Amino acid sequence: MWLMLNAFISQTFKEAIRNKILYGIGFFAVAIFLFSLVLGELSLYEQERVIRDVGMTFIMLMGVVLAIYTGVGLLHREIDRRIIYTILSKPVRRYQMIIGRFLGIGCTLFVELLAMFSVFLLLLAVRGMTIDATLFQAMWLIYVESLVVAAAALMFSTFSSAMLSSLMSAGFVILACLNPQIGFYAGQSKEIEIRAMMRGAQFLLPNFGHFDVSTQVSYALAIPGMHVFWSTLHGLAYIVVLICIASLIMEKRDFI
Amino acid sequence: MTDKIIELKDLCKTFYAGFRRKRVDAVRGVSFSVERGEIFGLIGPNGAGKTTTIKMLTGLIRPTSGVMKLMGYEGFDRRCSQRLGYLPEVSYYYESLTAFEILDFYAKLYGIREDRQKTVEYWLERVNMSHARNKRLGQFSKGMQQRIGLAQALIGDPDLVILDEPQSGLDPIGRRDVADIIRECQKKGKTVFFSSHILPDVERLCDRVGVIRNGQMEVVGTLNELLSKDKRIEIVLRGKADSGFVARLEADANISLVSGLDTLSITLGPKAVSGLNDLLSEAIKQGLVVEHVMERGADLEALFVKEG
Repeated sequence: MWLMLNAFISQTFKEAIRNKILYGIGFFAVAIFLFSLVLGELSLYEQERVIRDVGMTFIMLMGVVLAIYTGVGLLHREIDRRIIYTILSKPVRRYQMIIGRFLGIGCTLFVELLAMFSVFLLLLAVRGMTIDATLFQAMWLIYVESLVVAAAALMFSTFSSAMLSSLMSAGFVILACLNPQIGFYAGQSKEIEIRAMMRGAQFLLPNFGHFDVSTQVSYALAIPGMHVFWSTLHGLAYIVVLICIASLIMEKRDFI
Repeated sequence: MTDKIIELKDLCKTFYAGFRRKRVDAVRGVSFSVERGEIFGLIGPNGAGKTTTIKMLTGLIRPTSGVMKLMGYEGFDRRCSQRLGYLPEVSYYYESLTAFEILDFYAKLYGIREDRQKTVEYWLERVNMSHARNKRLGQFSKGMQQRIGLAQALIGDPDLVILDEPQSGLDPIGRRDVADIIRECQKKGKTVFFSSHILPDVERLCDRVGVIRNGQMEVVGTLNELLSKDKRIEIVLRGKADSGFVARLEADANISLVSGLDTLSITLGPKAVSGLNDLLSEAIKQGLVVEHVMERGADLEALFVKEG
């Protein structure tokens, strides 16, 4: 089992790292960080706050984009180019393939986000700005959030086209970000059916509000360790459910 | 353990395609078996159901009905896949990986731990791809990709090798290499099941052949059995033949006759072949000279076209 997972993880990682598009994203990341410096210069007395805010928000956005791109593209390419025929005819169970792919995407995202974060920290260090634990905690939560998005993208790509999967993944992210608002409007609604529907959606969707610590990052406020722990657990629970659904869909699917 | 490595009985596959869920019966009650150690060729026109049958054998799609036994296991059992090698019809591989990395990946999927590097090197050498060991697959030609495809199918030392159009995209040398590998597999006691459009290769390699059309198996048998059904004999006689003799030949629906000035060209159809001796005896009795007697067996192409 480990050898097989190792095969998928290393193959996914090599495939993703050698993708030229990612280098483009890397250059874009550096450009945005430099842009955050310019924005910082424009804001009097708020330089550090703006740079931290813009930098971490950008890393979060890039995490989501990369998770959708890698999560959707990987399986879709395998199905479209019929590579999957040679894999599933080997002694590989379909759920093992999904798990292996997800772990591979996880490793790739880790390296990509770490690279961006390192560049960001370097910029802060060069400018003599504070590097505190909050940044690392926020980075971890961004990573967990990206993993949830990747799991959703992988799940959507088991049954739909690349375009549709990308759109559904983007929709999933937007709704997950709006989860607290959905809960709020559910409480306000007088219609029982609408209230039940909104409560159902709130329960089914992950709450990305747990991963949003932008206020703490901007003002360098400490994030309680328990918040990080429970948010991580919240993310992991959704990842397990999404991977199980993806595996079930793959198990039932015919590769015509 | 059974000697039949593949056994299909009334195997059917129905798809519902498109938005309107149009019913497509891709395979309709296919039955045949493949013995251990033989080379079996599946031929048929495009859309006949060859690839669908192969996909059912490799567990990529599930049969709608019917019985499929693979290596003694009913249905597609995961235990079979450890002993199965499969080359899909047209496939591509991870373009960013090198030839070595891609075979190493497939070797890991087969669970090969010991001597994995040696195994990979052996197969690179065997398919004449050692020179491209560290080259990425994105730079490979179709023929080179096909060779890597063949190596990935065989790297797990499978008992049953299923090849869907293995010679497509290959030059004559590549085709010969594939044929050599198929023969080598048989020598090692492996069973090879392959589909092809290149009928001379099928004729040269296969012990038995099945012709599939419109999702149904039309004929299955050894090449000898299939081709002897269409055996014809051509005879050329010289001299002046008796008019009664000629009339008798003309009246036989299984014999075709062309009269020349001084010659008679006779073709005995499959049902008239048994009467060859009697015909020749009578011709000699009448003083005719037997100039030419030749057996014309049908080739696979004739069978392929005729069955349509």
